[in-house]
Amino acid sequence: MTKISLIKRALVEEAAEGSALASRILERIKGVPVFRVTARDREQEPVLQDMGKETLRLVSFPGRFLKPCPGTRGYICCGYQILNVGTNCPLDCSYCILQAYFNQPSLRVFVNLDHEIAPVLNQIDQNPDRVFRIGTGEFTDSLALDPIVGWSGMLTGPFSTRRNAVLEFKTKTDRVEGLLASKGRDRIIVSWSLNSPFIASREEHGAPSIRKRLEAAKRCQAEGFALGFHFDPLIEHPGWREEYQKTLELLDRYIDPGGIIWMSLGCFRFMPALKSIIRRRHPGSLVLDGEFVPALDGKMRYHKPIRIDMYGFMSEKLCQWHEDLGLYLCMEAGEVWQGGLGWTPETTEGLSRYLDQRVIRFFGPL
Amino acid sequence: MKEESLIWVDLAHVDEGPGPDCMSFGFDLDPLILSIRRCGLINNPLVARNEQGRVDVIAGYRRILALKTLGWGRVQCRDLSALLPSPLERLLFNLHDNLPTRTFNDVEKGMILGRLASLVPREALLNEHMPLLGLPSHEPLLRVYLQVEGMEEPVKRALAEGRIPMRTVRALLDLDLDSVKTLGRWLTDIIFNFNQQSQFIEYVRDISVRENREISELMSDEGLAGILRDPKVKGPHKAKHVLERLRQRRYPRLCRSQEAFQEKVKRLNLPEGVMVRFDPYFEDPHYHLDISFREGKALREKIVRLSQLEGLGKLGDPWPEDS
Repeated sequence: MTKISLIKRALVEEAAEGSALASRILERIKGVPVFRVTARDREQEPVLQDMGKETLRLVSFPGRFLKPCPGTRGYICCGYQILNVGTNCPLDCSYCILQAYFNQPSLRVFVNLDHEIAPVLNQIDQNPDRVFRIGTGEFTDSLALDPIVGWSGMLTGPFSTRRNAVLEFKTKTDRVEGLLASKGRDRIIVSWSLNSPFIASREEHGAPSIRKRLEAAKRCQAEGFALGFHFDPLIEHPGWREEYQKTLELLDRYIDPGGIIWMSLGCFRFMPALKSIIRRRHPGSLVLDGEFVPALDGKMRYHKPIRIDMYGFMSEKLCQWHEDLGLYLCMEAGEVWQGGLGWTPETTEGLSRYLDQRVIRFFGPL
Repeated sequence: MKEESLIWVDLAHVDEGPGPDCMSFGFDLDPLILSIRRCGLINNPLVARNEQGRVDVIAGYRRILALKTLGWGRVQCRDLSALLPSPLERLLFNLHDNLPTRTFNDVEKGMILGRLASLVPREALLNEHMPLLGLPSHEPLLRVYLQVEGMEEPVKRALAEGRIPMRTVRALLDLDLDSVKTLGRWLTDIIFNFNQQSQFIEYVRDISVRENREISELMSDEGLAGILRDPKVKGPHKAKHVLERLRQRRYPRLCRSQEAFQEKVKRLNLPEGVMVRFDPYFEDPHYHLDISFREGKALREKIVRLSQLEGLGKLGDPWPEDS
């Protein structure tokens, strides 16, 4: 994966100058050339044909930091909230949706987070009867840049003291030092995106192996963190059952299932525009090989019986391992839940309730 | 002041191709030949000497071709060598001579941009010349146009005549040359509509990647090549047969589900005027029943017959048994 030393330059936008977080980051990447970017520079920037993963861009984000996950129409979603700390990611997974956002290249870190976290916490405090399941890993990897940004150090404290919120760090990396050094444990969930070892090595460019991810997870579990796992995207590939079984065996070897708050499954789906980008950026990729059909939300998804088959296989194996893993499907149809998992929460509200209950069971009442 | 002069040009010494300054492709020469035969040559072609001392046509390339066809041995031309000393000036002269009087086809636009690319900065191509040609100032589109001239002749002809749109060409361009040639032949040999062209290219690319086979090898499979050769299948039917064959190969399980569901419906023996509709991709979990009738009495009869149909209670998703 991209090491800090592979960040070749840093850009500091005008509005980000003087921010305490920006100063701390620049201190941590001393030696990397730093350039100031004015609004005029931004207008004149050429549209890059790649994602600028070697450029760190410090930005003052003008929008809302906490937003509900947009979910998708026509399918059951989980009612998650996204804490928007940055965009793009130093990893280069062939299937990543972020590839479609070429108009926002480079690794963007929102350095006004340390100021803007206050209204977020205030919103949580104003709604004491509501469970906020919050994560930072939707538009970036939660931990890939943690050694230079220090998100874990900034966020674990405030979240671990709030009864009605959990914060999930979702990652494919093994960069857990910041988390382990932080003080907060309660209501902090560290979760890993997992796949078959075959897909991990072939399609998740720059990401550590599944074994390394699980070794990091084991360290976090030993240090008292609740764990989550996300088999998302599940990708149909030759021998996929045997390949996913290998990951399940590794899970059994490294992880105590009793400490897992939830596990999600999600078959690969994508906006049609991503297909040509994947073909161009990752010509050897097999992620597009499956039988994808246009779904109700405009995305391409595996033909339904394939999804049911994959979920059915994973669910059966996972339930054999441990019967109470908080298993759920990400953005799926009720009949696919029924066919694959044998039950359905019926609606987004139903799934939200199920996951909120998991939070309460794990961390205690509100 | 530099001036133009009249010179006699031996037509045998003028290239058949449009040269560096002209941008004509896919035109019909017959009306011009007829015109010259009846009225003679009204306007002399414009030429200039290049660095090798040979004559390049600056304007009047079609006239030169027509004269050659008519058997003229030489023609008097206006020599602009002194007036237009640089290649850029000559090219722009031709461009602005043509712009007000005719519309360029996509191959010609590609030729113009291709010639300009070596003479002006990229920004000028994008910001000045693309809008001049009625194109959006868009880098990826420019890259497509710059590759057009290098494509095979039949594909260029089809593009110039509007039988193949630019989006089809764009879908071909990141393939290797051999694949482009193969697909180009299919696209010009079979009458696909524009949507079918895109579908065809997508199916073939997907299958080629999934089966790890070269496109040329894939398209020579007997099942496909046989359709191309079959004299009994004509015109648009040929396109449908090819696409259906590729679809079956690209989406075997989806096709099986569709066939299985249709078979289930067929076995129900629905009354006349009754039809089951379904999402061909099965993402919509609901199936729909259409009943056409003229009067309530007929509707009642159909509903009664429907309620008595054996097997109706088992109609539903066609898997897992057929997936």
